[in-house]
Amino acid sequence: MVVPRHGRLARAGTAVATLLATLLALAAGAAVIAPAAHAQGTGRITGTVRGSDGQPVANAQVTVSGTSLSAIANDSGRYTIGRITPGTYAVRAQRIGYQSDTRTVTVTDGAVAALDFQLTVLPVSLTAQVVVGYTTEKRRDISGAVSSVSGSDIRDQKVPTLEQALEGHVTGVHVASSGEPGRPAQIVIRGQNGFGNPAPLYVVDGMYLTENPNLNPDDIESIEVLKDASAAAQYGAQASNGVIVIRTRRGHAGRNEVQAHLYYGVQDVPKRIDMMNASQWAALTQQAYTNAGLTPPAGAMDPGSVNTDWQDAVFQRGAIQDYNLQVSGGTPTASWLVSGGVLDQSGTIITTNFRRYSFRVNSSARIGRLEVGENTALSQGRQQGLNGFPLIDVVRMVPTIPVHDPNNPGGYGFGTPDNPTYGTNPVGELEAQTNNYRSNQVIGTAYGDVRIFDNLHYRLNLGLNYNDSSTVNWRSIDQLRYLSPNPFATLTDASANGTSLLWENLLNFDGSFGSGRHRLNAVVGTTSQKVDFSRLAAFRQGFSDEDLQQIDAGSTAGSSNSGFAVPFRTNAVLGRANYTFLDRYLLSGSVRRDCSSRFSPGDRCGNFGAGSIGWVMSEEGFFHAIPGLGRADFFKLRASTGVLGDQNIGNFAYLAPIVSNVNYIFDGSVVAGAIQQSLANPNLKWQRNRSSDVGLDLGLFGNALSITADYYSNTSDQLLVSAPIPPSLGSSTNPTVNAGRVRNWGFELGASHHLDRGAFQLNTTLNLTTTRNKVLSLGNGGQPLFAGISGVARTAVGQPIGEFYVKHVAGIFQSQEEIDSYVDKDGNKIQPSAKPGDIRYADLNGDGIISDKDRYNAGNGIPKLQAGLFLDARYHAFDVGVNLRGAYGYKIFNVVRWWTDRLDDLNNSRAGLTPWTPDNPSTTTPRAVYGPEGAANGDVVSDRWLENGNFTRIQNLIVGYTLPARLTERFNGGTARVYVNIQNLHTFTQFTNWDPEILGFGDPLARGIDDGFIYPNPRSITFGLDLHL
Amino acid sequence: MRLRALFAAVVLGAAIAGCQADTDITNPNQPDSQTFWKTQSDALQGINATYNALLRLGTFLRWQGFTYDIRSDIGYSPSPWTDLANFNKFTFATYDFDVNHDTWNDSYTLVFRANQVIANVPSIDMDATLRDRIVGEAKFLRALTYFHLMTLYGAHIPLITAPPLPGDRPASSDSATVWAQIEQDLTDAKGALPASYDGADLGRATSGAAQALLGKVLLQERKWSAAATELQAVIQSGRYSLAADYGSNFTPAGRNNSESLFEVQVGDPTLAGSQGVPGLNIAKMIGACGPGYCDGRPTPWFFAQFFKDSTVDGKVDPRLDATLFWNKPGGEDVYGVPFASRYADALANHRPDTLYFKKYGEYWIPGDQSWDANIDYKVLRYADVLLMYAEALNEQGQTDEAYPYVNQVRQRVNLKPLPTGLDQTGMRDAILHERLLEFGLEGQRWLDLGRQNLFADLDALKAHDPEFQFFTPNKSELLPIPTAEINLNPSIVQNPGW
Repeated sequence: MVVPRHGRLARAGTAVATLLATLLALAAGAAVIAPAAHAQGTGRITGTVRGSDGQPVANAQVTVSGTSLSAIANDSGRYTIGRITPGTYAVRAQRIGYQSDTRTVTVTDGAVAALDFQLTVLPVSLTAQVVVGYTTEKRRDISGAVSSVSGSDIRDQKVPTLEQALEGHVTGVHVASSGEPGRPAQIVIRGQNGFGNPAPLYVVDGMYLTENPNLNPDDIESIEVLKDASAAAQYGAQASNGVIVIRTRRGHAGRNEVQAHLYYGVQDVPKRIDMMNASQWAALTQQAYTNAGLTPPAGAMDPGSVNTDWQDAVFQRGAIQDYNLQVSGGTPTASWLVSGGVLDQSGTIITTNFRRYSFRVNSSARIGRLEVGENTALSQGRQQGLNGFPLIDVVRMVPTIPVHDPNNPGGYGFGTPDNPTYGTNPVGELEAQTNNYRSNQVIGTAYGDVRIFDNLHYRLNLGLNYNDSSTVNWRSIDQLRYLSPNPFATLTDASANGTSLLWENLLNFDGSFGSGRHRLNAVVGTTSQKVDFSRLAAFRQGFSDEDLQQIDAGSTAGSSNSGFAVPFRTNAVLGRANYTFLDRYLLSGSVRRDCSSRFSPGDRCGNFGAGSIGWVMSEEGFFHAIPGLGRADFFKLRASTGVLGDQNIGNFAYLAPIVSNVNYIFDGSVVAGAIQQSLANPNLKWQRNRSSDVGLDLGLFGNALSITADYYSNTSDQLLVSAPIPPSLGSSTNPTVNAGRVRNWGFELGASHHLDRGAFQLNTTLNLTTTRNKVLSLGNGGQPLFAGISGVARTAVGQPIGEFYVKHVAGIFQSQEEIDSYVDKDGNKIQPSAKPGDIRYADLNGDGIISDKDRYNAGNGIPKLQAGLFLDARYHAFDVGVNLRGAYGYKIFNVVRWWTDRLDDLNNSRAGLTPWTPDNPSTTTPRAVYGPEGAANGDVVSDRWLENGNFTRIQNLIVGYTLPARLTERFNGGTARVYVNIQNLHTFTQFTNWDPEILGFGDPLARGIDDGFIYPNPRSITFGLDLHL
Repeated sequence: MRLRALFAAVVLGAAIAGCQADTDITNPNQPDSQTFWKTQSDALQGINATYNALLRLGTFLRWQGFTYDIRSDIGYSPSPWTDLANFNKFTFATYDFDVNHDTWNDSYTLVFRANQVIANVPSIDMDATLRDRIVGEAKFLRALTYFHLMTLYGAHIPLITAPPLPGDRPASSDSATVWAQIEQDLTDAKGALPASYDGADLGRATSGAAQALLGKVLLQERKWSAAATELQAVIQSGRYSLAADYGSNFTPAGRNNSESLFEVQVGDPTLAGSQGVPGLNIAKMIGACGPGYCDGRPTPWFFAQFFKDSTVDGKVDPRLDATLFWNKPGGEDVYGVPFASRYADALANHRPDTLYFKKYGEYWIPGDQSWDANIDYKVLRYADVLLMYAEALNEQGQTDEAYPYVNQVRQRVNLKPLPTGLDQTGMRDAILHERLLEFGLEGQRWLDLGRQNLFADLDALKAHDPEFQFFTPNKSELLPIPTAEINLNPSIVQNPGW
């Protein structure tokens, strides 16, 4: 959402009143226009409409208020309105892209009243050029659902990644981020349309990328989010999850520019889980063992002096620094931009870090009818990632175990019979093991554009995405877990190489007819992709010198090597046309035929298409006669529908591979074996996603307030799903099948307001998105899919994807009498083996026993409402930005709390956890019993572990100061700004873990499960400097 | 203008014609099911891969020791892995617990592979004898696996005899159908398999193995007469004999010896030549504390049984020393460390559970027990054939005829013959007692409990193994079918009580 920078003053109260009036008018069906009184006089008004530069403004609409009389200015800006009854009128001139102008004139019978207008250009969103895939349109002409973020919005936020720039700014976009340095966030547009990876398609300067490209935000000129079928259908088979179109910056004609952006900051995990210390743990463990009739382990009888806080051991203060330099310039026929940057980040979990070097050259030149250009980005990323699951281990490790223990191989403490736990020492796992990822990437596009006629272009697009990466995992000889020594040092060294080539031929038409009344913008063409990925990996165990961490230094005993290649090809023919009549009737359509190597030969190609219509009602002569709504400056209604595809499955999924090296031994010698291990579905077809959208765009108070509202509905059919099948079929993997139908629907509301009082300016942007999700049908004979720990997330017909399906905890038995009186209709005890202090489960199906059949639908991890509020204020040289963001109406299944509160196993527990005892008749926490009795009563699959996930986060608080011009003017008249930015300042939530925004290692069917496999989002304070010379 | 338009048309036409990437590509990494199953080599690789499924955690590699032995009254589990300890107390936090889940899944993995061989090999143009043999081997392996599924999960298992399609949801079967299929497979295998193999194929299923397994299956069905017929034929073939040294059966030296009818051949992954074929994991999980995890331990009652009798020269039954570590007079090294010093703390506390399983461990190697013990797992031993035949005779009232077969087993370990004059009940008890001592940790006790319905005397079992206080009659005899199967397969009926 682009925030308008200029406009008239508007009072908030008026804004609200007008909005209400507008809505009322709409609700009352005011769209059926009452004809205004027809005056039949002989007076005339005539004049010229000019811009503020004095140049005539063609096609401006001039309307006489209170009448239906209007005229369109000609190419010289001249207009004439006749047959006007004498009187004094307010006359308004307007033109898209200009601030409208209203003047008063008095008309007398038979006379000509002269009335000239001067319109000022509005540099606001409505006229902004929006790259809608293969065409470029003005925002006002778009009849699909497209959201935009400009480069300046991004740079104002000082975020290290592009997806953080989208957070809270764009309706319908859900960004789940992770605090792990270098790990791209997961972006989901308008809910989850399938059972697979919900990632959208990224198109960077025309190049198709399936993964978040992790661009340097300073290089981004604009981001367009294509949310509905109308816009996304150009990308056909790859667009079912929406498309994010990114343009990088280019040089501008005129003087050369130099920009430098640098910042430095520190980062911390803002929240800790308050865990038990050694003596508290010992007391609880004694209780649990004694209740089970067992002798407590020695460490619980005498906790000794060790008292480890495992969170302190694993979390650290991280740092982030980023330096970017960009130089650009151009002439009327050429442009160039060179930029380079370094980002360096050390994480808030020890040993994790990320460093990125990036370098970019964008250039173009025009020679007669030919224009050529290129965008080339080189980057190197180096990441030391997480090892293991430290956030589970910090609660599983008990406080009586030291972090370091010189008596152990490797020098780390771990569980022992005296201090039993099967947690892994997370410090050891992070320190003694490496998980180094290095990637060298080139993303480049080149184009040639021939102007065949003035309005017909042929364009050749070539694209390349080359990624050469390596992953090195080393582990020393050590022991990090009870009974799990690692007797060998091991090394895995893997190299991967991916090349993606794009070749497109496009014919573009952009022209107008009939004095500009008809405008047509169209493209037809072909696009073809050739993707090859290969990987080589070697594994060694046993290193006589652990300083030599190379493959050749390892023993060949037990070694293994592997390598494979994955080819992928796709071809498409596409067309898109946008037609505008009289600036107010908008029509656009897209068609695309895709063929993909991922499907079986008989089902390789699919057709996709979409259409949309729009009506800029505010261009109509009668519009301003509509009570209430007529006061709006801009009003557009639009609707779209279409079909998109999805091929987001593995390659060759329609074939059942024969796996080699499934060997055996006869007479002491190995014999070769090979067999089919997985079932395949030879009839794989495209997933089809029907997407519809109706929306409106409204500009009020001289477009100072703009509102966008949408209702959307997406129905995915023939869903591609890696469907779990009964284990009795003996398949080692789940085959991909076309199974089921899922619908997503909801509302989006975006509002932005610009307040300008000279020295004080305030931009306000509000975004609200609602999402509902429902499974309409499933394959598998309608059998639900189960995912997550113990199948807690169930995907069933009539429910959202991954609804939590659990038993209901109805309380704690306080006495034997309560157990005895908890009976079914026949008087039989429902939980006969329970003891006082055990959990009472609700017998929801009333069959007298507690079983899996007593599970119920208890909510899910899909937020019903997401909201963002962005405030950006400037006063003289100071600026302040605040970004609030939140998600509401969803549940999180807290597996971490299951570990900390389960009371039957060997973990540490949350401080303040007080199990039921006769003296402490808790009604929420059962008695502590180590072993089978406790496990039998403490079922994972219960609503005891469900929590409300709602949160409101102060995502950003930025305070900036622009240095006085007298200090900077000597440098070529440049500007300099310093700022401080606090990210993730505070989160308002009842959720008890580190971070309600959980981005795990994601099963799409088990969203909203905090399994501890996360990296909390840090709180960071950064100090930065922007120089613009 | 015309020229330009022509130019545009030519460019676009050439572009559309020229840019198409060929979407018809083949998998460069692996053959697929449509190109495989064409040659003799494919058939051999297919059956070898079916044998490979014997080496999965849930078939013979690891959990067998828990499902058939530790769960019975000869063992108990003090494992700190709560779910594992619970498993041996017939208790589950989730029916998808690893041991249960792996046992089910891995058994059906083998069935899937065997079914591919049985479905595809007959149509391969190859040597007919070899082709029939390979199909026979697959039927043997399938029957062995269904025998395990029946004895662990009961008759509600789905019976799958052909490679399935992804949409299949096989229904629960019934006892008669599954037993009949197992018998049919073994009858077919008996006819198709050779009596023995030359060196390079040593370890493949033989006709003798098929016939003995058929006898074992019939015995478990309490079809005493039919069982006796098959077992008698195996004995009369004269192809098998007891190894002179009982303990040698469980060392590398006893690999494919004269007593072995069928054994799971393991690899030694520390050698590069093993190519991923694992060794036996039972000793690591269940073996002596220290070198192993001792997640399963012998019950004191089991230990005491070895002292009910002694050898003719008054010594302890030598099978004890091949089966268990105990604080025996004169001492013993446990993986290179004397028992008395390795377990000094436990002994000082007079803990009665200072007993560990020894069988299938590489205790002669000082240090740690590796995960992959290089010891084959004996699925069918001749001693089993003898004792099963004796049982089949006794159950038919031919108690006197049973004596020589029991005594043959006793004689090998230097025990005196059984006392004469036992009635049928006495002989039944004597055979069960003999099996107890002969087959510790060999996957037999759970079968014995079921076949002779020893579950009926729950008080006795509780006395043998206190874990049986968690045993619920008419429920705990069978494992629960894993939740993953129940959830995904509407045609499956869960076992009673679960």
